[in-house]
Formats: sequence, structure tokens, C-alpha cells
Amino acid sequence: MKKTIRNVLCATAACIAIGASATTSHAQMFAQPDRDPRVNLRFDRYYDYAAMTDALQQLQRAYPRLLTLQSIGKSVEGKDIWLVIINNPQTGAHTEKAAFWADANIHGNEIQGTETNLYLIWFLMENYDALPRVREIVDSRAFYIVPSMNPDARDNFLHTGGASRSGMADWDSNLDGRPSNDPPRDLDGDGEIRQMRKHVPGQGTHVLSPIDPRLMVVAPAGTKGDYIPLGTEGLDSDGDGRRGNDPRGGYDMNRDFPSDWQPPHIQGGANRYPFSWPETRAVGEWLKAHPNIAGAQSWHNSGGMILRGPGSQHYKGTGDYTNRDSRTYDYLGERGELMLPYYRYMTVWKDLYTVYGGTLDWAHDALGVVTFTNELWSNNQMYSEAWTGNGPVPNEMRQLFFNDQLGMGAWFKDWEPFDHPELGEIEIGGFSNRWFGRTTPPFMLQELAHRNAMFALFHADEMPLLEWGDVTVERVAGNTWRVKAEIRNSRAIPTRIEAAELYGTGLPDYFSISGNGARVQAGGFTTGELNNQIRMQERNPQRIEVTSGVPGHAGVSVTWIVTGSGNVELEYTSQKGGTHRRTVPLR
Amino acid sequence: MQRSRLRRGILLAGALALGLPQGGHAQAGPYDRYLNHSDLTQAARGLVQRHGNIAQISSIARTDAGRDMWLLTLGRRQGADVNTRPALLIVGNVEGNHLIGSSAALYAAEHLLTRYGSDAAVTALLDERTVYVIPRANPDGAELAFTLTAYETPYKPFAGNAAQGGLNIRELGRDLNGDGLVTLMRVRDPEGTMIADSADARVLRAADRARAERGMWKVMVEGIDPDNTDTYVPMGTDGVNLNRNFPHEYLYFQPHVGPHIASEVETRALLDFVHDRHNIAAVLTFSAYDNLRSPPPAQRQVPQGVTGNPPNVPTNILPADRPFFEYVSSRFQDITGLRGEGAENEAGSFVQFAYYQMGLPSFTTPVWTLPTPAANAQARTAPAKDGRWLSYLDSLGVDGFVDWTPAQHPTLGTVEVGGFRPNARVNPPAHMIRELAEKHADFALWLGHQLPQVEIVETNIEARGENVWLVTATIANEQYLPTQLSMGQRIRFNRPISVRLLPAQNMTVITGDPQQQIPRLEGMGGRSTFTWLVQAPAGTSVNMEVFAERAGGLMSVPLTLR
Repeated sequence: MKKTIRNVLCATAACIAIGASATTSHAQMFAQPDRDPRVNLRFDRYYDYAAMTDALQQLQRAYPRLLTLQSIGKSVEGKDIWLVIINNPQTGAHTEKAAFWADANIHGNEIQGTETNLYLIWFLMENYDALPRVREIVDSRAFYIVPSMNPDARDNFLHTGGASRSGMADWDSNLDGRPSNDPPRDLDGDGEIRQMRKHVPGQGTHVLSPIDPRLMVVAPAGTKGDYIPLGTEGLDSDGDGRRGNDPRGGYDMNRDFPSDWQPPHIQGGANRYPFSWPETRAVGEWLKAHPNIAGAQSWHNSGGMILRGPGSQHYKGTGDYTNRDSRTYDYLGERGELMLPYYRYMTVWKDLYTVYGGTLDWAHDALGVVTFTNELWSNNQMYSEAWTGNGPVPNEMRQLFFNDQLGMGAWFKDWEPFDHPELGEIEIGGFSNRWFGRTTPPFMLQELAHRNAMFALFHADEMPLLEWGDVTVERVAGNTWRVKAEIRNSRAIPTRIEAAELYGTGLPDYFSISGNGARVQAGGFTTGELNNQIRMQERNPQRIEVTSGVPGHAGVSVTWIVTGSGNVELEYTSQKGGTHRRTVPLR
Repeated sequence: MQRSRLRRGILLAGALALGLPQGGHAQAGPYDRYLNHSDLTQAARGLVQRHGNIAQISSIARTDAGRDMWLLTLGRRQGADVNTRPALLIVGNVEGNHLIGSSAALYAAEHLLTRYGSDAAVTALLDERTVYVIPRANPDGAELAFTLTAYETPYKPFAGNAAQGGLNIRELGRDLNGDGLVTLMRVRDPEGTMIADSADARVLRAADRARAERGMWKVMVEGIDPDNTDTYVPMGTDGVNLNRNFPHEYLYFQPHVGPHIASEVETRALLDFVHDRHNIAAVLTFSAYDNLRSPPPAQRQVPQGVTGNPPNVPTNILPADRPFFEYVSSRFQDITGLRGEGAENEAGSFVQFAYYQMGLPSFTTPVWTLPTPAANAQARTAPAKDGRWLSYLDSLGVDGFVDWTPAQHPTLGTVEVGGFRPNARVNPPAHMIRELAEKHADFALWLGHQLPQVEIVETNIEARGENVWLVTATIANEQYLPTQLSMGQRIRFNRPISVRLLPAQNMTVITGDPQQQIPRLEGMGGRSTFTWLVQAPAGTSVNMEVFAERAGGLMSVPLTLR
């Protein structure tokens, strides 16, 4: 006799009735695109720290039930590092749900990740009532979003034109014992740091380009040119004979994470030891304290990439994640390419460059989190297909064409004379080093933010989501029963990736049975459905250790032999899959 | 709950072997016994009070349990800032139970302070150099040696696991036979692989089946759950060996290394201290490892578990640096008369960090260890290391071993409990502290005199006519150590020696960068000369600066062009 008990209970987190708002008076982005949203943010502009803070506070005031804004630490200059928690408390505490992490702007000059994260937050809030898919995701998941990990350099970029990748702590780039005393300077006061050159007819190394006189090319072999390029706008403020060679910062916070970490003579940009900056430490502490995080995204720029680890070919002596974990990444990355035109799914060291101590590897190895880094924005997006790739047209000329025809001259400044205190009569001009190249032109920003935010939501939606499969009770003899229970994961990401299992990080899942009048005789994984085979767990058979978790799009089945009567309680506990209970009568 | 069970079992037997403070020894001086945190604090403060003109005390960090990590700064207060003079850093007690390390470090400080003014070598050292002493790098771990005397544990409690006292107690075992100590237990078992050694029946060794030996004993840590299978312990949540928490050759995802590199406040304090004090020119650590009693091997076996390093991460002391280590080791042996063998596999240690990631001459010795074996030690018939320890302890009259005695185990039945007393092979009996510490203090004094010191030995101004001048300056290092080892030249944080002509009114530098840099100045009379051609009116005053962070700091000379 075999009875199947219907799957009536579901995850504790997702089962409570959801109080969908009855009032839909405010506007909905997609449902009512002819109206203003409740929080009227623009995504054809960039937000400095104050504007970003203001936008986040507006969102918090508008959506106090679903959105919590908190500071997780202070930057070098003392700015708050904001973290947004998106969670519906009516469906459970955020710590009990699989959570998605998204950070951005760890590199000061990679700014549009902040707008992407702002958009992600805003989109989820503005469409919660109108789009059932949004509501479903918000109700069953939690989101931890850091719009900017590096607010100091963000403002340095937006306010001074300094295009630094680093944080803004003092740093002795020229090793003269006096940190940060020779920054680049906006000499002509146009708000941008551009290029300098000197006109020296017949004495230089470069000539004007025959294609466009605004450009220079190297003088033909054996001839002298008319210009000497003098590098970035600046002075020799510290008297060491070099201009602008000791700015604030000069390090790389994405080399500050404790997996495959290497010191700066091996990995440029690293600091003394991992988590040595207040910004990375704050993020690291939060991540360590939230083992429910199952998916993560770090927005960077540029190049149009969906990057996964590992960062180094020497990683674990193999240079790759395990086959099982790679398949999970492939599933997500390959679908991401379909959502993100111009983006390619890649492995950091194979397709970009070697990175020791990056966020990706630490989140994967030490936290068991499936993590991507998207390199937002590809220059190929600027041109029609006819001009992409390695065509016959020089890149700089294509850039000027874009500047002239689509930017109406916004980003390139023609060379103008300047009286330099050290170099005499020179010229200053060229592309803006911040608005052109890495940074998405404003008119293309919203699409970039939307597509990438939707990739993040796809990734978040593929975090493990558990539900009960078949649960059966069958009499073996007298009062002894065979209880077979299955728990299923309807999503692609397993509750425990193989790296976590291999390196022993985090807790395994546990599948337990208990009951007042029940004695567990044996228990283990069901290995043969038809002939009732079990792989027995010798010790503590009432609590089966599921070290591999529940795989993606699959289930885990456990069989117990139990003597007793009445009810037994089944419980499946998973750090990234939540806790699920149900009661089963022995009959 | 597990904690209280442990505490009940504590007896004084362990305390006797260790020389821990007890009633009869209450009056003993700081080198006749081992010092807990409060005694060490008192001793260090007293020392500084008695020598206020040449000693300062400060705390470089507070541990998770709120204990201060003390720093003693030795050096005459007058003259150059102590934090710019070439400095020797002495660190002790990185492993929690390595108490002899803290005694030796504190003693070295006292040895120097009490001889200042009477001993010319000591006086010269503290007038011109700085000695930093961090006697106890691991106060929380050290305290366990006084409160959990039943155990031998080098770990500090892991902060994230306060409920279990920060330690994986199950793994550490439990006292079964009521002697107040957790040693080993052996059980007769057909699956056993160990047999008694013929040389000393107390010692167990692996049976060699190829030589027709049949295993007899299974050996486990004394405890209830010897296989440690009852509860899953996530990696990085058990007690931390601080000396595995440093960044070079960090053993990712191994037990007792901490959740990640520099996860511990003590580790960060030491790392930051060495980074912040650019004047540190050599490091002497009293720890389990050794490169002084015997020089470092030419070819190390890289420990298992070191993965992920690219080929440009060295695994051995660089060939160009090796002679310095060999010479210093030979001087150590001459001065102390000590030879022996420290622990192997220094992966993730402070000592390694200081050399491989700061490029500093980094020396270490355990203060006390097994003396060098007899010449036939390599022969197959040589006694096992455990056997040699037993004979050595016997020769010292130390009761370092609990003889195998029957005991009842709840699931295994009758077992035999025995083995080395906790820490018997880590810390010498208390009466040996002073003599050992004195030898090491003598070595520290010698080492302090080897630190590099850059001096401006000559400046010259030659008139070339037309208000053009050739300015020449020569610097030299007369000391033994160079201003950087080869490894030091690779390190991003080490600044080269900079020589610069400061800008002056009406002066133009015609040739030569105003600032010129060299990566290193050799010791033993190494010198380097710098030249500039400048144009300026006669009588112009100009300053020349030399900056050598580990060999004297910033020096300045005024020059007049005439």
C-alpha cells in the first residue's frame, strides 16, 4: 500500500498570504508609461554622492514597507556606504530567504553601475503592484544592493574630472616618501582633465593626422614631426621632475578580497592584506554575516562582458571552477548574452586578464555564491554594425564621428594654446577622459541600466527555490514504515555549489525526521526508486547531511525506516534554500 | 556546557609541568615562571617605569577579549625620532601556547634596558637605533595555556563562535582518565596500524608491513568523539592559529587558519605595525619555526595546501639573499651555542610575511626545542623524534609523559590513555627560562648592530664657469646588512633611496633629475655617488635631501654654490 501525500505545504517563506496593495493609484512604469512614476528619477544623467543619497532617501520614503536604507560603514573620507535591503517582511525576514547581492562602482571611474543599481531598486519598487512577476520575485527573495562602494572616488570623478579607478586614501605612487602630493590638474579650467602637447615645428615626434587635423599620428619613420605629446594635464607639484605622478589613491579595491590574494608586487593595485580598506571591509563583513546570499553581481565597466571567475590560471591548480559549478554559470551566462546585445559571457583570466584577490573568487570559494561581474557598456554600441570590429576606419576617427554626429561635439575639445608655468607655450585639448570611452553616453544609459538590471533579476530568480516533491509512507512490517521524501529545486542554482562542498565553507543542508512516538532505524539517500535502495548514513540517520545541497532543476530524495505511530515531522534546512517543514502521518 | 565540563577536569598536574604561577611560587620573578596576561602587563609596565628615559609602552591593538597587545619601544628619547632610526623588531608568543617566546622577548627588553649606560654596545644601540618588542602577539591564545591547562592548543578562540568558547572542543578531546590532561588514547584493534617502538616502549610508531611488522594499536586524541563526526564544523569557524593567518602561502580552507587571510585583529595589528614603521630593518621572531639554529634549507618542500600561486611567487629565500641568512645563522650558533630543529611548514606565518611580502631580513627560532640529533640521526636505526624528545625530557628531569594507563571509554570500552603532557615539548621547564632568554638577548643585541645606516660621506661643488656648478654627493652604508635584501627590492611598499636637490630661487637643474633613486645600498662600505649640473648665481643656497626609510630616514645637508 502506498499513499502519496499531496504537495499542499510550501516554503514557509513564500506561503503566507501576500498582501498585494489594493490601491494602484500611482503610476506604473510599464503598465502606464504615459505617466510619471511615483519617484521621478531620471536615467539619462549621472548621480553624485549627494544626488544618489537623495534618490535613495526618496525611494525609502515612498516604499517604506519593502525598502530599508542603511549605512554599512564609512568610506575613507567618511561618506556613508549605503545598502538597500529589499524585502517583503510579510513573507518572512530577509535573512530567511535566498538573497541577491549587487554592488557597483568599486572602481571610481566605473560609474554607471550605480545608476544600474538605482534603476534596479526603482524598477522593483515602481512595478511591484503592476507586474506579477516582479511581485513574485520581491516576495520570495531578498535583495542587498550597494549603489556605490566607492563614493569618494565617485565624487572625485564627477566633481573634479579625476578619472581614478582607486579609492581616495593617500598613496605614495612615486615612492618619494610623500604621499599624494602631485595630482593631475585641470589647468585651463574647463572642468575636464585632457591632454597636453607642444608645437615644435620639425623637432617633434608626431604630425597632424592626414585624416583629421584634430588627431595626431607618429611621424613617419626617419622623419621629424611637429608636435611632442606631453601626457595628461598637470604640473610637477612635488618637484621630482615628473608631472602629475602622485595623485590621491593609486590602488585597486577589487584586488582586496581574500581568495587567491597576492601582494602588490605580484598583483598591482593590491594593498597590505585583504579587506584593508574601510569600503571593502564593510562589504566583506556584510557578506560574511549573510550566508543566505546565493547570487551576486558586481557592476563594472567597460567592454560588454558577463564575467565569471576564476581570476587566475593558477586557481586551485586547475584554472577553472569544477564542471558542476561551471554548468551553473554557463546556464546563466549563455542566457545573459541573449538579453544583452554586444555582451559576451567570459572567464576573467582566459578572456580578460588575470586578477588575484577579486570579489568574484572570494564570493564563489568562501561564500558559495554564484557571482558575475558585468563590464557595462561596449564601445561597439556607438556605431552601426558597418563600423564595428576591425574595419578599415581608425578607431579615433570613428570616435570623432560619433562625437561630431551623435554628441554634437560634446566630448572632444579642439587644441587651444595654454601658457604652462613649467613647459611654456603648449596646447591643451582632446577627448574628455571621463565622459568619453568608459562612460555610457546619457542618451543610452537607461537602456543599459534596464537590460542589465533585468539580467540581475533573471540571475536572482534562478537562486534556489525549494518545494516538496513526493512524500510517501509505506508499511514495511507491523509498526515499521518506510518514509520517502523528496525536496525539489525549481531553479538553476543549487542550494550549495560544489566549491562550498569541496572547501567546507558554510553549512551543508540537513534533511531531518522527528516524531514523539517514532524511532529512526535507518536513513539515507534514496538511490534506487524501484527496489527501495538507500545509501545509509551510519551516524545520526534521523538527520541526513546533504553536503551537495539540492542541485539545480532537480531534487534530493531521502528514505527513512521508522518504527512508531502518529505523526512525524520532516524538515529540510538550507542556508541558501530556507527552512521547510511538513507533518506526515504514519499510516 | 562543553566549556564547564572541561573546566571541572582541570588539575594542578599540568600547571606543575609548565611552571605556571601557583601558591608556592608567588614571589618568583618574571623569569622563574610563565606569565599570564596580567602578570606580563605588570612586568612590562614595571620595566618601562624603571627606564622611562629609554623605554615607552603602548598598546597596538585590543584583542577580541579586550586584552592589550603591548609594544615596548626602546631607544634614547633625545636625538632623532625613535620611529625614524633603523629598528629591530622582536616578536614573541605568536602561537598561543608558546609562552617561552614571550618570556624571551620580555627578557631581551630588560637585558638591554638594564645595561644601558654601563655596557657600551647596549648604550650605542639604544642611542642610535630602535628596538621594538612585542612580547606577546597572541594574548588571548596565551591565556588559554593558563585556563585550559588540560590541552595543548596553539589557537586563539575564534570570535564568531563565542558559544563554544571559540574552540572546536570536540576536536581538542576530553579527559577520560581523570588526570586533568587531555593526551592520547590507544585501543587494541585489528585495524590498528601502530606498534610500540623497540627503543622506547612508550613511543608508538607506524608498523612497517614490508618488514613483517603487524599493527596493533589505533591511536586517537583522548576524548568521546575521536573521529570528530558528530557535528559539522564549517571551515574557518574553529580556533585560529595566528601564525597561519598571514598572507604568504596562506592555506586556504584548511582547519585553524581563520576564515581568511588577516581575519584576526592581532594579525592585522602586526601587519599594520610592520607596514607603518618604515624604519624596521630586521625582524626577530620567537616562534615554532627556525632559521637560526640551522640555516634555512636551500630547497624547501612547499607545504601541501599551498595552491594558486603563480610561478613568480618565490617559495625559497632568493639565492642572492641566502648568504645573509646563512651568515646570521652561523653567528647565532656562535653566540648562543644552540643548535636544533624547529617546526617545519611555516606556511602563513608572520616570519614568512616579513621576508616574502616585506623583503625584511626575518629570523626566527623557538628559543627552546629538541637539540640537534647525533650524527647518525639520518640513519634508519635512528630513534623516532618522539623517542628523542622523551630521552631529552628524561635528561632534563622533566616529567613530560603520561604513561599508558587503562581507562573506560563510553563506546570503545577499555582504552589506554597516555602520551606527552600538553605543552611539554613547547615550553621548557621554568628554571631554564632565564638562561635561554639571556642567550637570545645577546643575539638580539648583536643583530641590532647589523642594521643598515646610510650616511652622507661627501659633498662637492665644482664651479664650471658661467654660473654653472657640478654638485656631487656620496652616500655610504658601513654596516653589515644592505639597505634592502633582493626580496626587499621587489616589494611595492619599499621606497628606494632617494637623493634630491630641493628647488632654490634662481636655480635651474641642467642635467639629472632633481630627484634620483637607487633601489639599494650594499652593506660593508657600499657607496653611491649622485651628480647634478645646475645653473645659479654664486652664493646660492640649496638643500640636498637623502631619504633611506630603513637606514636612517630623512637626512638633509645645506650646500652653498661657490
